[in-house]
Amino acid sequence: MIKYIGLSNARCIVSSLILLLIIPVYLSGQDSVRISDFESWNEIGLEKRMLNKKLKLNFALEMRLDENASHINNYFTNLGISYKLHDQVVIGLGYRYIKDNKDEDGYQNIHRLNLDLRYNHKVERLKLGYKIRLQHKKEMPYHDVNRSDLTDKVRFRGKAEYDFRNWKLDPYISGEMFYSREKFIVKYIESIDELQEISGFEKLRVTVGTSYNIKKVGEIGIYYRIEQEFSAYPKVYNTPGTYYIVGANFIFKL
Amino acid sequence: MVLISIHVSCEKEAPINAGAGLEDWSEDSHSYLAEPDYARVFNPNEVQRLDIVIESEYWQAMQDDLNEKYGRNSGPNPPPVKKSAPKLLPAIPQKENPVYVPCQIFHEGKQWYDVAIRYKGNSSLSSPYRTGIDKLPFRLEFDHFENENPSISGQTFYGFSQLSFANGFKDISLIHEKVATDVYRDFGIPATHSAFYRIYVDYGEGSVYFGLYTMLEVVFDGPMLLKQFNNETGNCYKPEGPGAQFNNPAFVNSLSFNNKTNPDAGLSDVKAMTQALLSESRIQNSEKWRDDLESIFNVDLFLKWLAANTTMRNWDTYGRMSHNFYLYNTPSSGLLTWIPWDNNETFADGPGEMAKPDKAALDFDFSNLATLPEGPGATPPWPLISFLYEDPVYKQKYNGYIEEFIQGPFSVSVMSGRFNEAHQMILPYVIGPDGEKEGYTFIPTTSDFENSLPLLIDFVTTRFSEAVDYLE
Repeated sequence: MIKYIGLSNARCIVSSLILLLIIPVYLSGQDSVRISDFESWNEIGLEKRMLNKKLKLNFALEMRLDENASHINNYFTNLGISYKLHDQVVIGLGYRYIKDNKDEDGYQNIHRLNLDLRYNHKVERLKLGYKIRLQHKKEMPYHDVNRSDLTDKVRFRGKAEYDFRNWKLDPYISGEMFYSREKFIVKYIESIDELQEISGFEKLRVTVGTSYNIKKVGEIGIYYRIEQEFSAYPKVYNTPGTYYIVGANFIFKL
Repeated sequence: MVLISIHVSCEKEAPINAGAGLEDWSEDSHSYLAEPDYARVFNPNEVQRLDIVIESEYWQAMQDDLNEKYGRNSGPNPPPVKKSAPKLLPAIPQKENPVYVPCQIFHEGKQWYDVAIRYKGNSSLSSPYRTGIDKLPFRLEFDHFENENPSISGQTFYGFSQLSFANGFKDISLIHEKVATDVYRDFGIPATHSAFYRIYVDYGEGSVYFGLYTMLEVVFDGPMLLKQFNNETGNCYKPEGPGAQFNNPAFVNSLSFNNKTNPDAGLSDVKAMTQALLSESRIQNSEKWRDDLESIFNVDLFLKWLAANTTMRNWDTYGRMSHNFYLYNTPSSGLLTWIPWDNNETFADGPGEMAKPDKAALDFDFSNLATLPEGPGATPPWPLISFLYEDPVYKQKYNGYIEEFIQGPFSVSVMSGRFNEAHQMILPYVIGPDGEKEGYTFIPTTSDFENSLPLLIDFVTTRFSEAVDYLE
């Protein structure tokens, strides 16, 4: 019924890189469902390691632009703590306070907590890492919507990074699968709240990127990401979206 | 700028590909792309069954809302407010529509999901409701809740987004609406298709037979305008209230002319029609008056409707009441076209033949039409009839259409056949073991229903003779 239009990834990559250098162009939004988009995610943060580098504290601010990177989708503050239990095992805890742009209805406040468990190991010059994240998100009431929606996610990520000799920009590739369970209220009429619950595999995220370590200052990173929704996930309504994301981050190391 | 335009092209949107996870959903039966299936939905040879399932809490909300608006057991309808001196811009008592609630519709083993249902109507709703009869008119809108449930985006019932269900109020035969709309269409007047349906409702206490309804397509829903005008984009007004009498341009406002298809389009066409109708040129230069009026209003089709409506004696419309019709600005011609609506009181003399002469159906020569001037312009209350009938050219056309009507679709043999066919088709679902039940019927006794057929045939015979007498 719907003609699905594929996109040239190369074209998006080129144009995305150019985008980092230009002033965003603001476009008017539309009501229909987005089935593909170009987004820009930009982060700046602080990081402090303690206790023989076993404990890591971090603080970051991030802004995400959608609609061809021309419109603020959301921005947030992230606080994190992680502890290296073992050479190869790290646990982490994070909190994110999100301001989600609802356009004419203003910004919605969202609180998110996550618990991470990571396992890393090396095969010669190849660094491999696996992460499982349990994530709980609470969307607070906004505008005249007097209710909170809850989302729980389990995220599985695998990452591979190759350590080239005499090369500072080691590339990595990662894949991350999202399993979601959402509870939300639907109001067919004003006087009745209908609680609905859905669950399933929601999306897959594939990322390639690299980072550069600036001695005694921090680290700068850049990545390209493709996020693919699954049509079977109930909230995708059989109309999955594909999102092309260029991200950049800068972390000051204290 | 070229590069900007390249990355801009990454953003793409599409309508929701509806029906995900909905077992019975198919393109032919549920999608907005479905061709309106008139043969199936308005099958003239069968009384179809439609099952409605409403969750008890939504049913209760629906009843509470209705009680709030009309108040059950508060006695019959309040008497109409006596008209005082006309004011420049009278307020129209606007009753808020009853609330839509979600329900599930079942037809021939298929389900339609989260369909919106609400009560509709004026006296056909309030009067039975107040007297404890639950056979109430209602409307279905198949995609109303698409924001709440995007899986049903663009949902239709075989191509129809909305359907209206008339309860046969003030029609003991239950066939007035169906036969009248069929006759209009056969005579070349745009009118809705209709069909008989048995309605069963389960609101948490098992399936209950709510009675025999006449299902109608909704005028401003796409299919009817497309089928009968080949275009659905024109202004479609549902006139109601003082402006709908067309006797004062000052009353032409959005309250009197609710534009159902293009709410923000303005009212220039209706204003132009009213001005042309009331123009002084009618007296000074009748040819110019006719030309001006015919440049904005499909007068010919109106005269055709007037001839048919008067012959069939429907009092509950223009001439007695300023409602129960639509005006469609036909894109191909730019002419406003008359569409009759709500014909349950056709084939009757009106409620007040004896007690309230002003509620009696109009005579062929309109001798009982109110003509006393009113308003600042001192125009008669129903100029679309009185002015046209005074004009010799239009009067001749009107008479010609009566002749054509009684010799064609309204001939005694044709009408007797129609009445008989419809009566026999619905009979098992109105009386007898599978018939309507107490509390869900307007029919006092079995014989009342049985006698309605010969009475209708007598009516047609009488009207035929009266038309012949008038024409002679």
